[in-house]
Amino acid sequence: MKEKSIHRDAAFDIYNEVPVKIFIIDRDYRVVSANAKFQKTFGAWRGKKCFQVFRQIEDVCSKCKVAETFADGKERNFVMSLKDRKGDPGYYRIFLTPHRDAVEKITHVMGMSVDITERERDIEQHKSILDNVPCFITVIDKDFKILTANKLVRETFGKDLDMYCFESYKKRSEVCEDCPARLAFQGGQTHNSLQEGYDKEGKKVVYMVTASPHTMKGDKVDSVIEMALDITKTFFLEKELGEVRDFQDVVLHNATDGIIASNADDTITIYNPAAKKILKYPFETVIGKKRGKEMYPRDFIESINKGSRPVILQESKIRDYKGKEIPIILSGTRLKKRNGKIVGTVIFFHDLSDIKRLEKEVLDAERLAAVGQTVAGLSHGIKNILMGLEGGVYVVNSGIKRDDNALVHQGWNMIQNNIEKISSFTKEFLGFARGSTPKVEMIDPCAIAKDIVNLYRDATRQSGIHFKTKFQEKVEEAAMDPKGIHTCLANLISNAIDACLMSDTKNPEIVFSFFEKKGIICYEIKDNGCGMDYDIKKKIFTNFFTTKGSGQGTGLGLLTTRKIVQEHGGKISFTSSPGVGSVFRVELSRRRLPVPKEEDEQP
Amino acid sequence: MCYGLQVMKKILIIDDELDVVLYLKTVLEDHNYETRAAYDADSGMKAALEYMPDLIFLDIVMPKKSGISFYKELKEHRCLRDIPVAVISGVGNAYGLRGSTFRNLIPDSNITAPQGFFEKPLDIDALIKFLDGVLDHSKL
Repeated sequence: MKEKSIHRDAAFDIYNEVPVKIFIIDRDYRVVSANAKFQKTFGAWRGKKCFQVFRQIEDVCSKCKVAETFADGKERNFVMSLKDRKGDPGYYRIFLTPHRDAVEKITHVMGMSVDITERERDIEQHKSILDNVPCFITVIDKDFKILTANKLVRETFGKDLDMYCFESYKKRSEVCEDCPARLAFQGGQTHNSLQEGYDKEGKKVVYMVTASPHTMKGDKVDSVIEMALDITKTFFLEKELGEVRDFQDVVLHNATDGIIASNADDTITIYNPAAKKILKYPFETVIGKKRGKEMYPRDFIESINKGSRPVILQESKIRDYKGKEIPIILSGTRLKKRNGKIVGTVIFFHDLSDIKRLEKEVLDAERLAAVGQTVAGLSHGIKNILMGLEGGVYVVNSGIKRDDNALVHQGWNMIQNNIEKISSFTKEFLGFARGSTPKVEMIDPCAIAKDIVNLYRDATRQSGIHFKTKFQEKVEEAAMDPKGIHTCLANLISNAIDACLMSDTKNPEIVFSFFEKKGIICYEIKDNGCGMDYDIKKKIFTNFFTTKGSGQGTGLGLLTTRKIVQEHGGKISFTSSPGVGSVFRVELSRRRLPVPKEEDEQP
Repeated sequence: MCYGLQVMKKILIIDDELDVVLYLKTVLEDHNYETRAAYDADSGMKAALEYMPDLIFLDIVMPKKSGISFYKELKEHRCLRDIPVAVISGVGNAYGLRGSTFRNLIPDSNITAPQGFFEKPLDIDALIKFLDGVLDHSKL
């Protein structure tokens, strides 16, 4: 009896102290009994229904497990979220067992619950970590079937469970030849490889996969965890970058222009074959060895140091391997990042040696042509004088025959005039011929124009001609023969004055302009004088002729002018219409100007 | 008009160069031609209308208006267009005004080319022979 009592007491203690919450529910969902642990967790239970205790609601739960147990009499084991007496939710593993009476009728359901909130939280946390890791994670079994896949896998590749990894990742129907998971299964080692798959929309995905053994069965690998990093963007960027680099290489290698570039430290990093062809430095002595300042032309460095804009030098010189100066046209710039930080310098240049030689040949040809025209003109000028002399002699003879003193006198005058003409013609012609080597020096091209204005100001004022000037100031010095250009401009101004004097214009005017545009130095003389007819225009440069009447002018002025202009590599052009006036324009391209002699060529 | 006396043929010289005018004038007078001179195209036109010459010697390159312009005006003038013209060219063969060169300068096909072309220095014998031919002057 005492033993029985001890057993009952013990059973009661166990009932209350076992770390499991025990409860008994009848068919009306009433909690009819519960142990102390239950009461401690879920609070007072007497007279309450299970849903009131567990969930603090007033109606039976949908899919009530207790009701199911009453119905089928099976034991149950499941995890459920319940609220404790404070209303805090938690996870509980619950076992339900039907309690039968003597006639096997289920009268009550006995429940036991264990708090697994912490464990569930751990699992959730792991799952959350798994889902939020920025890489694809799958666990696969020996048959390559996916056991677990994280969110990124599901989102990227679509359906995952009940699929083979090759189906999910690659949309194929059999194991890949280079499957890293297979290697992990076989050798028990971790394997890495670069793989390409297709996402659920069929777009290519490139990923770096690491397959490691996950669980073992005995000494065999049972499952493998595959972790893959999506490098699609990186991969394509790298591919693109590679293509750009290849393209640049092709451009650099095939460019006909020399290209040299240096980095922020001024070390040469690019020196293309065209640059080598021009400069002849071997590649190995330049790239990584030389500095930009050793290679780039000095005028380029000076310009680039002055400002940040790209520099274009129509005429520069670069020294080759042997120190020889090569004429080049160059464009170059500092290379900058968007934030303005200098990352290097680059120059593109074209060898002008051939062009220079051709230009010189053309200039020589033009000069020869000028000589030819001069000789043709010379014979014509002599013809004119000859006719004057012949005529004079004839008139004198005729006067003697007729005994007409006045006629004799007129004839003599004619002879005298033409002898004077020979004299001045010879002087001018000698000047024309002698001045064949212009003395070139660096001068202000505008200063010459100003000299001319001073020279002709009085003459124009006396003739009632309005003499206007339009001069551009601050033009850079240019290589010119000052005497020659002076002669040219004097000739043109003097012609313009004559043209004004020959016309009936009420307000005779000469406009003398000087300006530089795009490397072309330009002198322009415009008059509103008599202008010229088509046939005069056609001939003014091609022969020694003058419209200035007897005794005035030799017809050498414009020819001399043109010769000097041609010697400066320039051209002279004009427009003219009778009664309106003429415009003469001398254009000297800086690129074609002669080179100043360092020393005067004194005999 | 007097019978028995042959009327002297009248020649108008248009040239801006005084030397040329004096030379031609003397030569023509020595060969019994009556002459008059004008020193530019406009006064030449005026003189032509007043003087009604039998022939005109015409310089091409003159200030203000060229001989070409004058020739065109002359040929378009009802009273003057039949007057024969001899061109004196001071500027070489290119201005010989023969054939196509003339047509380039005066595209109007109604205008006939000048009868004579003379270059400086003048070949006097050829010039006189030309005048005799054109003006039938040899009988004087």
